[in-house]
Amino acid sequence: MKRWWPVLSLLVVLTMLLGACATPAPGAPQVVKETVVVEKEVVQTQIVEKIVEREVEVESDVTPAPEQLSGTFIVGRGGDSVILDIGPATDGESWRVSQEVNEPLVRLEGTSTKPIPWLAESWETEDSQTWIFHLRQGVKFHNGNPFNAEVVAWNIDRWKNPDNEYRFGRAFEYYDSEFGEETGIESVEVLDDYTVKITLMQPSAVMLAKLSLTGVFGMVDPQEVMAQGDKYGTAAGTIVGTGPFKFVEWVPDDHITLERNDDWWGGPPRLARIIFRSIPDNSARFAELQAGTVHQADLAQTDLPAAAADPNLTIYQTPPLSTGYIAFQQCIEPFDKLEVRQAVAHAVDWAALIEPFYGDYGEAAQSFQPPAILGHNPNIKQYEYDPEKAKELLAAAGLPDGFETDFWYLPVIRGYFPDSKPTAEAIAADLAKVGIKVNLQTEDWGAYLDDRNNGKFPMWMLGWGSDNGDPDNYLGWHFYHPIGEPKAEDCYANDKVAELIIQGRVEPDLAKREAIYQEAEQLIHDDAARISVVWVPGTVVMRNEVKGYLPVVFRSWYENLWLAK
Amino acid sequence: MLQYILRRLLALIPVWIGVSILVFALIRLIPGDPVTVMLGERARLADIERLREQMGFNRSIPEQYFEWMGRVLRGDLGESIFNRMPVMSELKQRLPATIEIVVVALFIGVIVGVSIGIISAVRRDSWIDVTAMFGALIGVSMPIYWLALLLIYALAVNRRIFPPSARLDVDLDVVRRTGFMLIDTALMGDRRLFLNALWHLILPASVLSTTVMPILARLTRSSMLEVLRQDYVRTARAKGLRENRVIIGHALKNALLPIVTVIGLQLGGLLGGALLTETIFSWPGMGLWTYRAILSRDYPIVQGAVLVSATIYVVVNLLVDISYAYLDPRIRYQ
Repeated sequence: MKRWWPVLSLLVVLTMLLGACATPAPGAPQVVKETVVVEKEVVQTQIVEKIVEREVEVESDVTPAPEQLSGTFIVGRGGDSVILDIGPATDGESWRVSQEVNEPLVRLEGTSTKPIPWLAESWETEDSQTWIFHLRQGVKFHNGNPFNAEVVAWNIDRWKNPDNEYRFGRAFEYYDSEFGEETGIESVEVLDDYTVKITLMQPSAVMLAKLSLTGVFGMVDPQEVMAQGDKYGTAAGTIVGTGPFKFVEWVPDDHITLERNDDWWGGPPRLARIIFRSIPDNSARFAELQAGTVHQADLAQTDLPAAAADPNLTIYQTPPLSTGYIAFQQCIEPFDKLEVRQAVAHAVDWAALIEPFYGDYGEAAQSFQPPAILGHNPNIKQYEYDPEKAKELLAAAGLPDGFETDFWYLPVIRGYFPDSKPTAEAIAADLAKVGIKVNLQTEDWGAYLDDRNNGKFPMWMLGWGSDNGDPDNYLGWHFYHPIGEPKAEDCYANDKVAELIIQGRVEPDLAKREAIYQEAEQLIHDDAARISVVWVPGTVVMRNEVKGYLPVVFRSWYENLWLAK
Repeated sequence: MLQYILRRLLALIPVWIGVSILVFALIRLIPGDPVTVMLGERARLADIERLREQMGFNRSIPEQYFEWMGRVLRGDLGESIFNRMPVMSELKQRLPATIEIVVVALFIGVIVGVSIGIISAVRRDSWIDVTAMFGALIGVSMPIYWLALLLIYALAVNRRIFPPSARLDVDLDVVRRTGFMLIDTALMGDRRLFLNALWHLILPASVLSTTVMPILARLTRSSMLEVLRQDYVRTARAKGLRENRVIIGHALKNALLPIVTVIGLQLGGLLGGALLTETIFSWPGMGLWTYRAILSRDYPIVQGAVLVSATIYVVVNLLVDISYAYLDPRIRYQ
C-alpha cells in the first residue's frame, strides 16, 4: 500500500481537474427574484421636476425583527482603499469606507442630487459668498470627543492651508481642484460653539454641492489626528469620525472592518458590522457573490447578464450620472470645421451601439448631461442617423471624398465604455460608409489621459461620472475655459459657453441657474463640440437576503440595510 | 566554505545595482505616471503640473535615482506615492504572506512532482508513466489564472469544499505576531483557527504548485532513469536490498542534484506565479501588492518589491549551491 501513495496523490490531482469540469450543482433553493426598485417613471419624474424633491417609493420592506439586527454585511470590491484619511484621498474605494465613518456638513439626498442637512442642521447665505452653518448639537466622535464649530474650523484649515502641520505631506487634491486658488475658502470664523461662518473668495452657487462631494469633506477628530500623527488614516493607524459606523481594523489588500455606532445621532444602524473585502479578480469576485461569501459585489459589465440570471441576486439600477462621449480636437483640420463634426454626428447610428455593448445597462444619450443633473436640456435630441446628410455636409466642408484621421479608443474598461475597442470599430465602420477613414489607436491609460490633456488626439473617446450632481462638475468641468483661452484638449473656442458656465457658478436662483446650463447645453450640441453616446446608470448587485437597500446616487446608505436570515 | 558564502553575498552588490537601475528605468519607461493615474478622467493640466512638482517628478531621472539610492543605502525604501506608508513596513507585513504560499506550494510541488517522477521512472512506459507525463505536459501548459478560476468555480462555488479566497474567514480574528498565518494561529493554540488558515491555503498553494510540479516530475523521471541504469544500483539490488531502499536511498539521492538546482531556479517562476495566484485568490502578499503598484505606477513600491524579490532569489540559489556539498560529498567550496 505504501508504494501506492504517490499514485493516489496523482489520482487526487486528476480528480480535482475532472471535478473542475463538472456542471453546477443543481438544487440551489429557488428564490423569487425581487423587482428592481427604481422604475422608469421615477427617472422620468426627475426629468419633469428637475430638482427632485420627492422620495422614491420603495416596495415596503418589512422592518427587521430584533434578532436580525446583528448581521455582518460583506462587500466585495476590486481594490483596497488607498488611504482612509478622508481629505487627501482621491479614489472611490477609499471614500467608500471613510464616508461611513466621517460625515460632511451637507450630504446629497440620495434619491436626488439635492443637498440636505447632515452635520450642519441648517445654513444661510445672502450673496453665495458668506455662508453661515448651524451645526447639529450633541454630536460626538466615536472616541467621545465633541463635534463643534472649532472642529469645523480646524478641518477647513487642514484642507486649505498647505502649511498646516497636520497634513503630514499629504496633498488635499480634491480641495485644491474643487475650491481652487481663486474660488477657495477665504476665511472661517467660529461665531459660537455651534455656528460657523465661511467666507469664500468669490460667490459660489455650487458651495453646498461641493461640500457634499462624495465624502471628501468629512469631519475628522482633531485630537485624534494630532495624537496619531502620520499614522492617521493609514493601515497602521485608525480613523475616527461621527458617522454610523466605527472603524475596527484594516488588513491591507484583505479587508477593512467597521462596526455599528450605537450612539449615532441618526439612531443606531441595523447592521452590526460591515466588512469591505478586496477581491481584485473580476471573475473571482463574481464567484464569491454567487457562493454567498459576500453580500454585495462590484461586477464587470460583462458579468451583469449572468448576475441577472442568478435567482439569488438582485441588480439595482440607479439613475444615470455618467456619460460616454466622442470628442474632437477643433484647432486642427478637419475638425475645425463645424460641418465635419456634424457629418461625423450624422454618419453614425449612435443608438444602435446601446444594445450590443450595454444591453439593459445603458441609455442612448441625447445631450451631454443626463436627466438627473440640473440643467439637463430635454429639448435636445441626438443627431439623426443620416449618412446622406453626412456626405452632403462633408461636401460642403470641401471634403466630398471624405478624409482620414486617427481615432483613439480607451485602453481600459469603464462603465461608460465597457467594450471600447469593438465600440470604436462599430463607429469606424459607420464612418467608413461616408468616406471617413479612421485609424484606431490606443495607448496606456496614463499616457492616454496625458496626451488627451495636451490636445494630441484629433478624435477620441472618453467619459465622465458626476462627483456631486452639480452641473458645474459636469458641463462646467468640461467646457469652462478662461475667456479667449480654449482648453488644450479640444480647443473648443465658444466663449459664450464659458461665459454661461461662469454665470452658473454664482447664480443663486435655481430656475435661472438651470436655464443657464440648458442654454450652454444647446450651444454645445449645435457646435457638435462633443457627441454624447450613452448615459450609464449605476448598477449595484446584492444578494437577495440584503434588505432595505434604496438605489440611490453616490452613497450606499449602509445604515439602512439589514440581512434577512 | 565561509569564505565562499561571503564571496557570494558580496556578489549581491552588483546584482542590486543592476536590478535597481533596471527597475527604476523600466517602470518609468512605461507610459503614464502616478499623477495621471491618481487624477484619472479629472486630470487637468494645471493640477497635473502642480502634483508632479509636489511629488518631485519634474526632476531628472538620474537625480531621482540617486536620491532614492541614497535612501535605500540607509535602509529606507521610501514611501508609497499614494498613501505615504513606508514601503519597508508594508513589505514586512506582506512578505510573510507570500513566503507562506510559496513555501507551501513548493512543498506540494516537490512532494507530488518528485513522487510522480520516481514512479514514472520506475515503471517506465507503463500506463502510469504515460498518464503522468501526459498530465505533466498539460500541467506545464495550463495558465495559472485559468486553472485558478476553474478550481474556484468547481470547489468553492459549485461545491463549497474550499473557501474561494483570502487567508482566513473574515469574521475570525488572529493575533499577528509573525505574519505567517499558520504559525500565528498555531501560536494562539486555537485548533479551529489553524485549520481555517490551512483550509484557505490549500487551493491557492495547489494552484501555484502547478508552476513547478510538472517540471519537477519530468526532470526527476529523466534524472532517475539515468541513475537507475548505473552499476551501483545493480550492485545494491544484487546484494539483496529492498527495492524501496534501492530507489530512495541509492538512486534518488544521486538523482537529486539537478532537481535541487531546478527547485532553486524555479523560485523565480513561483514568485512570478504568486503574482497571478495572489491576485485571483485575493491573497494579500507581495505579488498582489506589486501588481497593484505597477498598475497605479507607485514607483517606490515596485522598486522596493523587485529589489527584495531579487535578493530572495539570489539567497535561495546560494542555499541551493551550499546544499550541493551535502548531496554530493565530492563537491567542496574553496
